[in-house]
Amino acid sequence: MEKLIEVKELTFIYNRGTKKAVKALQNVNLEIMRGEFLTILGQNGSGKSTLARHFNGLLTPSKGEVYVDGISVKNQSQLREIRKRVGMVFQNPDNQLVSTVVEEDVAFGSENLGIPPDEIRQRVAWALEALNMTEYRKESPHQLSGGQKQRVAIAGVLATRPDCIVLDEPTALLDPLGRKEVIDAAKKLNREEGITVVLITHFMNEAIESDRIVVMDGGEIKLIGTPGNIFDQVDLIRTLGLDIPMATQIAIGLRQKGIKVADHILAAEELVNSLCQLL
Amino acid sequence: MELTKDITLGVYIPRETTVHLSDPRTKILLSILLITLLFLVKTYIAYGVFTAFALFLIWASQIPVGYAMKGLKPMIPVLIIMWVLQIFLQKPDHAQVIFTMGFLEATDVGLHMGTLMSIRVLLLFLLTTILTMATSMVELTDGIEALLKPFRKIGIPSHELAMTLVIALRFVPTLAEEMEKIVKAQMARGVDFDRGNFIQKTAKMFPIFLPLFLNAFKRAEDLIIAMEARNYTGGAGRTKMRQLKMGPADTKSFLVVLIFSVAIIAVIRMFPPLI
Amino acid sequence: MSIVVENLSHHYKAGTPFEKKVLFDINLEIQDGEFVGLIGPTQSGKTTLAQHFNGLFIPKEGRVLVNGHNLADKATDIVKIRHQVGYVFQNPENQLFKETVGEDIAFAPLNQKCSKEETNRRVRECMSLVGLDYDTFFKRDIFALSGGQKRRAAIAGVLAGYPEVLVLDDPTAGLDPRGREEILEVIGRLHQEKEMTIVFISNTMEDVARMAKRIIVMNEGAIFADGTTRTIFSESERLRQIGLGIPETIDIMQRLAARGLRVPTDTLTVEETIDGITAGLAGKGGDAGWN
Repeated sequence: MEKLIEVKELTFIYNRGTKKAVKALQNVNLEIMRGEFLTILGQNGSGKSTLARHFNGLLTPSKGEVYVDGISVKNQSQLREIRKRVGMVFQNPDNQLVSTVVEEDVAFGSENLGIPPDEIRQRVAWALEALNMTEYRKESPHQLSGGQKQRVAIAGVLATRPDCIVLDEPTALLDPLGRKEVIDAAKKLNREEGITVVLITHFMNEAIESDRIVVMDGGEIKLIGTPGNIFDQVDLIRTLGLDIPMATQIAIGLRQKGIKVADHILAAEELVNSLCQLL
Repeated sequence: MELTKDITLGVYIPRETTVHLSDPRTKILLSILLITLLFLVKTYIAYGVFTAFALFLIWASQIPVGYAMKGLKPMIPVLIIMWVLQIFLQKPDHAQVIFTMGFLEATDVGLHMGTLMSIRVLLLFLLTTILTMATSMVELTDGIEALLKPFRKIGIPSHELAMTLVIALRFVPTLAEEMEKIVKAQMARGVDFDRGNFIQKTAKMFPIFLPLFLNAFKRAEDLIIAMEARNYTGGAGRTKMRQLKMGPADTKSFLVVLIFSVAIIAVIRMFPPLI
Repeated sequence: MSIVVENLSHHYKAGTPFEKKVLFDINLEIQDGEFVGLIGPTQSGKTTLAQHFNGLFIPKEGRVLVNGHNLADKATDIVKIRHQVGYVFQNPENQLFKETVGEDIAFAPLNQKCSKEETNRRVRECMSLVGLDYDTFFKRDIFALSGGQKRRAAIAGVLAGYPEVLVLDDPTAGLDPRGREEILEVIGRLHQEKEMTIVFISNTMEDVARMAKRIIVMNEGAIFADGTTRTIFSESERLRQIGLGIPETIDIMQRLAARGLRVPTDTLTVEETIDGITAGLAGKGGDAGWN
């Protein structure tokens, strides 16, 4: 697998040089591979969104480097190229939709790239279909649910055919149904279209099926690994302000009582299977 | 309570009528023509013909009449004030006083002018309502952008203006909802919007407007970042997915308005104002 | 302090082409001191219903009585009702408008014409209730607060009106796990220590399972179910049918029961679940599964 995004010794300071300077990232090193589904977990203030905004050049490093497909994000003249490769979806479903009609909004990014109108139409239709939003294409965003709005936002990014989609806490303001819609959509795009997905979230259960998880706190990466490895470190996860899937908590409690439940339990079905094997 | 229930301006009612199917450029230009003609009208007869045409347009675009008229409700206090001012302030030499109230004199000319002016404003509002009810926001802004495009050469940022309009319109219902929530939240904390005189009531709006502005600014901030991330750099180098095309509906619209224009000008000339 | 709802129906955007019936013949009673969870899929009418409890909507069809007072009665002091039934909106931090925390929390008591001393007393108390240290935060700029702190300040602002009933609309929305835990603790305290009647609207089943004793389920504008927390969540199939999830603990137990293990299927907490599974395994004879 090749590297798509490379983060080297990244340090970022908000309001640099003023009295209100705050160091949000400290010496972060990370490589994001093409085609992977990476989740960056962390509580509020951990620096995860700050890190994510370097991936498309919205923020530039105070110290260190970030490369997207070999291009440095410090290179102002190349921002267009970088943003062609890395698209981003944000937390507030409303505050990223610009048009009064769904399909118009999905076309927005492609229009900005000067793509010919006929091709835009094709891409929009394709993107809406990929996100199961075709039947809403003529609706006003205002009438959609949060999950639907986010799917429109993702479709808009998808239509520009990026290599990577970064989702910055896309589910924070959604209800459980909306959250599921968005995460399922992200997984589908990763699996079926081969798009690299970087998911920023504080919900543990969204990370369960990622290829890798990065856990951040206080501007630093504290843990990197597969979901199985990460979730076993229950106490550390708790001190980092994150919660453990219930199934994992139950598994750990049962193990403490001497019941030989399997390791790396993340979801209900795994727990149930493991317990049934003990019968 | 629902704040936005009776706001009819800007609410699009989707149908497939000739009015709906006409190109927005056609509709905007014809609207400008009709509004210009409206200002030439000075007699009750001519207004009568104009009103009949307006009702015809409402029928042709299948807009529920009652609903369109409802939007006029908030205008009524303004109209009454204007009407009263005209009655008492119009004092040309040939005017005759019809009654007095203290030192205020109501003239027949004033009554006449006041009534005509009110009708004019009502018709203006009605025409605008018809336009916005039969034309979606997207179409309108596309139409405005297209009509302004030739002026880019003299420095008018047609795309950016249209974009600003689109975004503003896109957020109207969102911010209206936000405002409703804020009003309710402050009501829940004991603000009684029904009581108090005008000044007291205005002061009560501060707990509404400040949070609303803050909210709107936050949204704007977020939106700027999102647009940047989507490679928006203004109008240069952009293409548009929606292309405007004229069609048979436009021909019909032009013809109808043309016929009406001739008719109204004829009426104006045949029945000159008496005062 | 009870809330009685009789045959309540409600039309949204009445009198326009967009009119829609959103509440259908609601009948319920909330008693003093209850902790009621109000759940339902989106657009089920839960917020519309809850906004009748404090008179934000005045019933036009049916009746709502708060402490015996009919809301539709002209003689009823609606403003007073709004102080007795406090309402914390979703994302309540959006309603903050005064410069400092102290001033904003004082808004409700001042609207109630409380004296300066009384207001100060209430502000202190409510800040303490939500876990905002008085000395640190009283003069703090609203803008200088974190999201979680703003939310707590907003809740304190509603509490300062000294409500007997508190309606909370999705109070943990948008918070990270730590923030969520803090808010739930505050709500728990309000119910325990202040004996407030709580109506808790939420989409997070685990939160509702943990905190509420009684649950009202709404669907498409009508009451779908009304019962104790355990009973309601046990009927998982019914809830699934209307698109609602169930707490994970119950999901796990039901799956185990389906595979033949004899476990209680109404456990609401991790501890109960662990105990239930342990007992179930032991009951299967001998020391199945033990080290």
